[in-house]
Amino acid sequence: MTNLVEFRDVWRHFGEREVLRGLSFAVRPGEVYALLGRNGEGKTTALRILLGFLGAHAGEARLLGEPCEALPLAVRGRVGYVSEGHRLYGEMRVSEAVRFERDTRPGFDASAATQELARLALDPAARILNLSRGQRAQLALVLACAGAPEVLVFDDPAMGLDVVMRRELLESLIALLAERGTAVLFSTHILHDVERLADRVGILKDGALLVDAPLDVLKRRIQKRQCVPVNGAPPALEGLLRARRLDGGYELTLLDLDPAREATLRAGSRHLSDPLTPDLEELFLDLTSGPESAR
Amino acid sequence: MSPAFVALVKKERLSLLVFFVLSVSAGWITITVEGFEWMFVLGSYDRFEELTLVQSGLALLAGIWLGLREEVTRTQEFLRQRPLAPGVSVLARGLAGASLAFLAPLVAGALAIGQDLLLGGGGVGVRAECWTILVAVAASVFATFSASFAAASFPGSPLARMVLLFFTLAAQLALQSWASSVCSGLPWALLVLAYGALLLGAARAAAERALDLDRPVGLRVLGLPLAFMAFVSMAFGSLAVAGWEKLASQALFESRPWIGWTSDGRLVRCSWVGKPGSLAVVDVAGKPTGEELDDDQPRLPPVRYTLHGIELLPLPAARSLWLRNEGVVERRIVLEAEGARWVASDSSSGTRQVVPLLSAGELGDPRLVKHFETGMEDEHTFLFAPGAELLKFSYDGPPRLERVELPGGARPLDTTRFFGSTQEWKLGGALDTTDGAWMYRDGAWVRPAPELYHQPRLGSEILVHDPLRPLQRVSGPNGVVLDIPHPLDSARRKLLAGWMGLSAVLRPLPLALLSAGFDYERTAKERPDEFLLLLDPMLGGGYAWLLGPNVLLHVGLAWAVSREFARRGLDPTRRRRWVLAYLVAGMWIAAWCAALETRRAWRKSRSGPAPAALVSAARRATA
Repeated sequence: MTNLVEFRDVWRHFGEREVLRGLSFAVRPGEVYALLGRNGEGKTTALRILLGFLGAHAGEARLLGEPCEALPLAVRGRVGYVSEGHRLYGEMRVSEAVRFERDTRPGFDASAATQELARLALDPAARILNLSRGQRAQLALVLACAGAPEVLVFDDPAMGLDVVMRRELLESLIALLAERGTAVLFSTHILHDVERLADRVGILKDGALLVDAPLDVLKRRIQKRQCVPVNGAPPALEGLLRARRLDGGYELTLLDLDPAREATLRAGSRHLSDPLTPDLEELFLDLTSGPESAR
Repeated sequence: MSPAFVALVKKERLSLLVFFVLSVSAGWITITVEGFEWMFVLGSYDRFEELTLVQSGLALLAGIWLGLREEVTRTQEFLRQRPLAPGVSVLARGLAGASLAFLAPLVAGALAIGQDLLLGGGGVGVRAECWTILVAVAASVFATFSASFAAASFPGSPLARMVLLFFTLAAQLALQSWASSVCSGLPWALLVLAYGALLLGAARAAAERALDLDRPVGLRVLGLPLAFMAFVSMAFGSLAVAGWEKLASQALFESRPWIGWTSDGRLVRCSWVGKPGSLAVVDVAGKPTGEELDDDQPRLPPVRYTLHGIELLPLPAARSLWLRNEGVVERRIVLEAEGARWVASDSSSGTRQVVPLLSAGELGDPRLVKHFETGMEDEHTFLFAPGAELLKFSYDGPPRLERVELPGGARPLDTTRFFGSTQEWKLGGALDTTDGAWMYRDGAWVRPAPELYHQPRLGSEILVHDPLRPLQRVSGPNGVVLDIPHPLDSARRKLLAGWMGLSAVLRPLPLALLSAGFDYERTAKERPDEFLLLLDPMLGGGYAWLLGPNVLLHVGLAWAVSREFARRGLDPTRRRRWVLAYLVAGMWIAAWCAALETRRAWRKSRSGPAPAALVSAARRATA
């Protein structure tokens, strides 16, 4: 199956700082890919490279099979994008924004957009700068989707939204995705959203992809165990991602713990708990947090 | 026009509307405040320059705003993600703004004309010259908008944008300065419009590239703009050098001794002495003779330097007047009727020195220029119309010309000065007529005393046209001749000469080569009041050896740049182009170079192998 989005060993720096280091992943049709990472890890940079706003210093990114460095206009027309902060022209009215999309984006379905906005109870006469953040986010989403894009790219679509707004936005997105088999690549900080939406996650750390796997695989391969070591120190074990000190022992985050290593761990512990399945937020913290990480 | 283009223009309608309304209002107010008649009937250069300045200021701000608009509102990605060439969006904004910038002065002028017609301005507003001036102003405003828009929308660092703005505006000013001191005339307007259009085209081309400070501008993109940059930098460098050289030359000129004509008929050369108000008479070699003269006459400050034309002012009437060996007076010499003294003008001195002046534009622009600042209200100012008709400015109400009759039906014959080689009209104070000399006093014609009117003048000839050390021959009315060398005989003069020499060394190489080949002496004789901006008087005037250091400097710079660029990793083709640019424009291209070929853009990428993913799961094969 063709990859609609593809990064192949992409490197990028800003000044002296390397923001992306050999980024490689792909998104297939109908797949929802969540790109995660702490602030400044390169999520937005990756999306900007994908959309051709930035160039890569090495490697190649492709969108709908075309190199992102020189995206044909026709390919741009097949992609929907919601930028960080849902940037729109504030002085426009909602209806003017729809007309602007219609005039500048061939294939944009203005009537579908208008219907969707009516469903969301967005006043067509309202100026965008007078809309709430949530309404702006919804408008941006509708404008991005009404062109029937094959690929949707969202840069932190829920940023700055409260729980209710985020939930509404998510509902809108799920409704839209349910109707089409659009490939979605989005970056976010809200990990609960990811669990509801994403088929696959990529976690960036220091500009490199630490994880590129389906969510269920990730949860299956990483487990948590609480242990009280015999000698008081956390065990030196291959696959130990993090050892967090607890009262009288450690909480260990372990990758691909096989029977042999489990036996070693058990031998070095006075007490070892049963495996705990972490949620995504815990996994994310274990994979990306600093000082206590044993990795 | 495509729907997308229209939508892109409509998107900016609020900014465009505000700019247009402000610009038209400001233009209209300026014309009203400055005086319609002064501006368009009498063609006061200063006043329509004021209009240009006001309109251009607004256009500059509008250009910057529209150029930065997407960036400031952080909507550039929202715009760029749609299937439109980025250049189209920039062109839509630029073209709309530039069109309104062009229209605004015309609309303001039309409103002023309407106001003039409705409020009884005498119908002078329909004069065609008004539109020529307005088109010239509009062209200038168009180009200013285009320059600021191109700079603001340039996808580069803030430094690169500032450099671009500075150079494009400087090039526009140079264009104006080169065409005429008066920015008028259709050819000039067309030239400036073409320049503005070029900048809009450049803005469009530049917008096709994504904003990225960490990657060098592609060689294909850099190609033509680099030639433009080199050309603009060369022109700018030459103008800058000419400015410095002119200052040094003027200072050198001012340091020379005074030449005077005493009441007892002697031609003397003087220098300052410590005692205020006195001049020491020196001999030809500059040695004191022990004689001192009172210096109780107004000194004539130089207002404009001309490198080689050394011209003496006419003698005063009754008393001896010490005169500078002025070539700097821009022919601003006129007979002031009262007391029949010749007085030179200096608009910067603050003193009222009457000169209804009659200097033409540098290319012989025929319009009256600068007469506002010269006391045009003087009742002794007349215009000689073709066919010996005599006219006078009337200030009873809006200024206008009215016919004047000479006593006894005499016809005017001659005047003191004329203002423009292509203009038939002449302007003067006291008149030679078919019935002798007449002066106009308190509404009546009176006979001037012949000794006050027909004054002798000193003759002057440059025997050796040397930009630093000319040899001048001055002759008085009684056959008295004084040959005066002007040696570099003081530290100050040597320093100034060195300054001029340095300017010649810094002159961009192609123009330096051209300068070395031109006949300075012939040019100096033919156009004594001209200071050539693009050709160097030193290199053409006997100091061609300065070409050596000039070549060394340019080649050295190019070599150093090539070496540094090789170190940064620029490919040979790109290096060769920069070397060529440095050879053409010299150090003046350095600002462009610093803005475009940054260390940051050429930083080596990829510090090591890509880290392997900790958790990576291959996809299941699907059909």
